[in-house]
Amino acid sequence: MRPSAFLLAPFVGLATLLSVSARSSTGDRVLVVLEPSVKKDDYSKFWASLQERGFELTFKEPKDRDANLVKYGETQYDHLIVYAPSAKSFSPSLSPKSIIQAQYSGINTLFFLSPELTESTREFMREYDLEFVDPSTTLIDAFSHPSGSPASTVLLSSTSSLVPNNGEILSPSTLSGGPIVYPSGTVHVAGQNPYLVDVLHASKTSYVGQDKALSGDEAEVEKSIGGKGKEPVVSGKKASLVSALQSRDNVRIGFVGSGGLASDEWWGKSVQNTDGKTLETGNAAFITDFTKWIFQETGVVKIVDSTHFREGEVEPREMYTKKDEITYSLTLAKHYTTSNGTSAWGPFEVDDIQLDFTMLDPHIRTALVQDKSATPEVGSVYAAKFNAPDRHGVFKFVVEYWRPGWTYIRTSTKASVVPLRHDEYPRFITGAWPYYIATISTSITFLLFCGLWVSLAEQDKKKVNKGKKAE
Amino acid sequence: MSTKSTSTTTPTTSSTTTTNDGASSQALQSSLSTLVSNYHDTTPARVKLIDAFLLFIFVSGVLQFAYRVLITVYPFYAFAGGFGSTVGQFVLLAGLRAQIAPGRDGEFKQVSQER
Repeated sequence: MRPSAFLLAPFVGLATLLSVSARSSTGDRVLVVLEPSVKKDDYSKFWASLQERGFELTFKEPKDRDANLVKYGETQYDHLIVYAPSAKSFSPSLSPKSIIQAQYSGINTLFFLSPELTESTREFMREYDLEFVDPSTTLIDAFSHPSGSPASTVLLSSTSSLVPNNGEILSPSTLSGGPIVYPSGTVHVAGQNPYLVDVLHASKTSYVGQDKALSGDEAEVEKSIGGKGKEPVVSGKKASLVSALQSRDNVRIGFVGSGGLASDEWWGKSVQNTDGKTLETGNAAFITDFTKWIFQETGVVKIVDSTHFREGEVEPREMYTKKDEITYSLTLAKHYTTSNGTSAWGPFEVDDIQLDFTMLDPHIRTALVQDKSATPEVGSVYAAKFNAPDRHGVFKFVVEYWRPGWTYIRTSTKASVVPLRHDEYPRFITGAWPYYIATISTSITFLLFCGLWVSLAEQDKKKVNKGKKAE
Repeated sequence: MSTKSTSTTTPTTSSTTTTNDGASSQALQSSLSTLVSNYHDTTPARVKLIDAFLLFIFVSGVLQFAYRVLITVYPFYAFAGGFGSTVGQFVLLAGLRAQIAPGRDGEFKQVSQER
């Protein structure tokens, strides 16, 4: 379950009452931390799009001392946007440590980064298992960039660079939409962290390099040092540009390698690629989809109800007898935004949910199939029917559904499996009738024997008497 | 009488001749009939009663065991109950027969005759 969701539930309720247009499932207070070198007005369309979606933006600088994320144990904001890649120092309330603490309290975070990352920021990003390329190197693609722009402004095809099948992180229209302009952005390599999701990676023809032509002397110096040339070149799919991370508590964190991706310069503009074709950029759609996911608008699933019962009953039991036919049902609902901009929960339809009936190990693992005949108030019902194993003990109904781009669904319900009670065993089994008859007939013949024994004794005495008389 | 007839038949079993066979079968028949008639005449009624019940219980036990081997032993406790009752009854009756049988009074002096 999601403790953060429970904690935030009252706030969500309050927020929906106050503001009709709140669409996030967790809240709409956003803190934006911009470093002084970033011009707020260069991103006006991005801020406007967020406000249009119902978010309340608060702008702060990295050194602002009053920018508390969590105050007295209460989160002051629901989401955080950090655009301060080259900031040398942060106020204690915005330090990497406080940000991670705030993420534990349920604050979703979106990081905008750039090639000018400070060492402290790199260190911070290693906490998430992201390793960034050397400073002052950017992604370069000599074959694909908008005409009139330098090679470091890379034009990425939406069909080949965006990673599909990541739940609801990107909508189908974005996945097949216009190309994405990635201006002078940095590149990172995702580590082994299983919670990381690759969202956007570089194209085949792009590579990491310095965005300037070296003079002859400089090239000689580079060669003689021989350091950078020998480093492995990151390119293609290995070069991640945008990544996402969803923690165990379903807190979402996004990493965008280029802040310029969200700038007004490429927001809903048309660009001419090197072939001369004019296309509309997919930046606006991409950033909108990505922020929707980060700010818990899309890909959010909640457990409405989970129950289990024996065949022919409706109430859950604490104990099941072995070999009982048990039905487990789970109701899941997906968050969505209605046409008038309010937050709502609707059906969630997938076909790969599993149920485990475990005692230490899963004794039964079966598919939870959507029960289309059920009509819950909200969401979709999934059910599985199985026979309890012939094994006594405390079992758990466990559903773990972890898919990239979706809320992690985790539920566990306890129930015991016990042997038959003394009066529940089957009686007068057909196959055992010969034994029953034998037992009963032995008893009856014994009684018969006793009767005959006594009567024969009388006769014997008479005989004996007769014999004596005869003598 | 019966012992005599068996002693005469044993050497002839190896060499098979029809006449001998007919003779031995006749001898067997006569010995059997003597056995039956002797049993009928000399055995007290109470011992006959015990024998009849012993025979019944024995057959019942054998049938149960055959059923257990050939068809099913489920549920085991039903078999154990049925078979055990026949065995127990058989043992007790056999014991009683040993006491009742003629000529055994000397061995069971401590037991009352009124039983």
